[in-house]
Amino acid sequence: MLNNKLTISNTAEFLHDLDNLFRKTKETNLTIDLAKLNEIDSAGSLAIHQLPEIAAKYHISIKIENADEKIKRKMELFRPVAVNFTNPREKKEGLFMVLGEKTSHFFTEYVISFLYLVSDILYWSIKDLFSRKHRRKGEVINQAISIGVNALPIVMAMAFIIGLVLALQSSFQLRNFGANVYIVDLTVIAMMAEMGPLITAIMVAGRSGSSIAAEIATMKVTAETDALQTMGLNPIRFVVIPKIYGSLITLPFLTILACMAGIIGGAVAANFYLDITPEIFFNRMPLVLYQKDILTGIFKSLCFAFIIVITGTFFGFKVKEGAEGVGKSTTSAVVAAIALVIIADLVLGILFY
Amino acid sequence: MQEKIIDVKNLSVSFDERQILEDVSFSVNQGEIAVILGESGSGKSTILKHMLGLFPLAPGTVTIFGQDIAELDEDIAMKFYRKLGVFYQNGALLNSLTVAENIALPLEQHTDLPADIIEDLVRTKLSLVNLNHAFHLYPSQLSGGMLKRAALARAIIMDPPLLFCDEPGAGLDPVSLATLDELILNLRDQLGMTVVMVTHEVTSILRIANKVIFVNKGRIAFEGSLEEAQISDVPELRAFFRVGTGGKK
Repeated sequence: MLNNKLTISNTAEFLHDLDNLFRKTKETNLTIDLAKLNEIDSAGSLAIHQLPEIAAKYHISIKIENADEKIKRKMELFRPVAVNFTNPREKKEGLFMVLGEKTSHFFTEYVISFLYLVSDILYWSIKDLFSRKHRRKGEVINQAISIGVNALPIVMAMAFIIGLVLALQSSFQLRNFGANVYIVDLTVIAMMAEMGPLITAIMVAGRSGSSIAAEIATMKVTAETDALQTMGLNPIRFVVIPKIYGSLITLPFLTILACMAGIIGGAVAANFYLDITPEIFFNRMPLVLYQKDILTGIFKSLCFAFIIVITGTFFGFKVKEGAEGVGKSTTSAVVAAIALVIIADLVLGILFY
Repeated sequence: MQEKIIDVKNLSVSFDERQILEDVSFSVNQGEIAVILGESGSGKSTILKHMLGLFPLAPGTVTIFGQDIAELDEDIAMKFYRKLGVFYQNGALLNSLTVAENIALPLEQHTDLPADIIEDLVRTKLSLVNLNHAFHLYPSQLSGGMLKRAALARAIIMDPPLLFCDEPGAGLDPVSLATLDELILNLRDQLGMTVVMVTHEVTSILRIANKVIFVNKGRIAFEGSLEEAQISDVPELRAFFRVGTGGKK
């Protein structure tokens, strides 16, 4: 006998009790009397509809009776829907089939479309150098300020700290060998050829790579890129190329400034921990700093600029509908940009060694 | 006989093994206001996006002004799109630009007109949609109705002979909807535009449409005049008109 109500608040308890009852009983025929039930909702109705199936597991036959009209109407309204909701894409396939499909999907969705985007951007970057008609006035400057100039304080601060920490950690080892003065070589070469470009690129990837991905993803979600296309404007040319120019112009400067900040950081540590005065430090600098290191750093920064903008653009255009998609694209863009920057740093490091 | 502006033949589209459109064929003549009507998910917007060349190629042909959409390359596309105005459901104005900059964009990019003429043209189009005061505002500062009118102004800035509208009335109150309908009618009458509109708004259809293309489950279930549509024997289309005019399903 069911009392009073069977609603979403007590359905789970009801099913649990009934399950216990079915397990313990010796009866093979049971009757559920709904005479005293005066309130039921969708959860309760579906639970009642499921009872025969649950009881059948224990080889018990169930009879449900005495429901009043109101309860019957509710139970009629909330019946289990006999629709097969199987996902057409859900196929049972072997491990190698799945691996093959995933690999093929990765290549077509990511590698090939990334290469297409790279070629598209390269084409328009070169073509638009000679055609200013399709460029909005001031847009390259705006992008240069947004990507490069506005990043200056944080990049310089980080580079200074890293230069300082690098020199600080090295100073203990160098002091043991009486090679104090080599702190200059270590800091200058490390900052100019390696750390400066890398720190700058990682900071810009985090700051501007994410913003590029979010901007393009939002434009895609709100059909702004479609609108551009149907106005006869190429979204790559209109949105991405100014960012490419802006980052290519500013990242080398940003990198040089970051290197300087890092070297100053190193000089501070050298002064306090190795008694190398700034005068000694900066007098030795020209002896250890080669033109090749500076040019390597600048070349790296240009490659990194290209990577950051392309990765942001790629993930921006890959967005799936909705705000959640924009968030995912942004995260992927930052992670991929940093990873690609580090890989490119390795490749360029080997090439220019 | 009126010139055929749009000719869609045997267009079939599927995504992930799901058939979205099947053998869709219809045409739109010059000066018509053709409404593509159908339930949500019936494939209307897919048809529109294929007509605009925004989706990858699919079996079938879409010809607009005699140009096969499948054969659009970069140079042809630029010229082709100048003949179209597209009015997106959410406006799709660029958020980083003011309303005036948004509307001026196609002119700046496709013409060599001097800046003062461009500004005058923008003011004229804004006045046409009763939005003079929004010249310096950003899209985020506009209400839904204003946003749509600004989007319409941008869509018609190049005086395109063909205007596509994707659910222009969605989210508008009845008065704003009627104003928008009047604007579209005026554009057709005064500028001789052909209009293709995807919409659910039956009141709007009754006010302005002279051709109805009804899409049901990815197929064209009806193509004909508004008068024929109202007495059509396609049950789903009859239900649309009945419910849309206040009747019961």
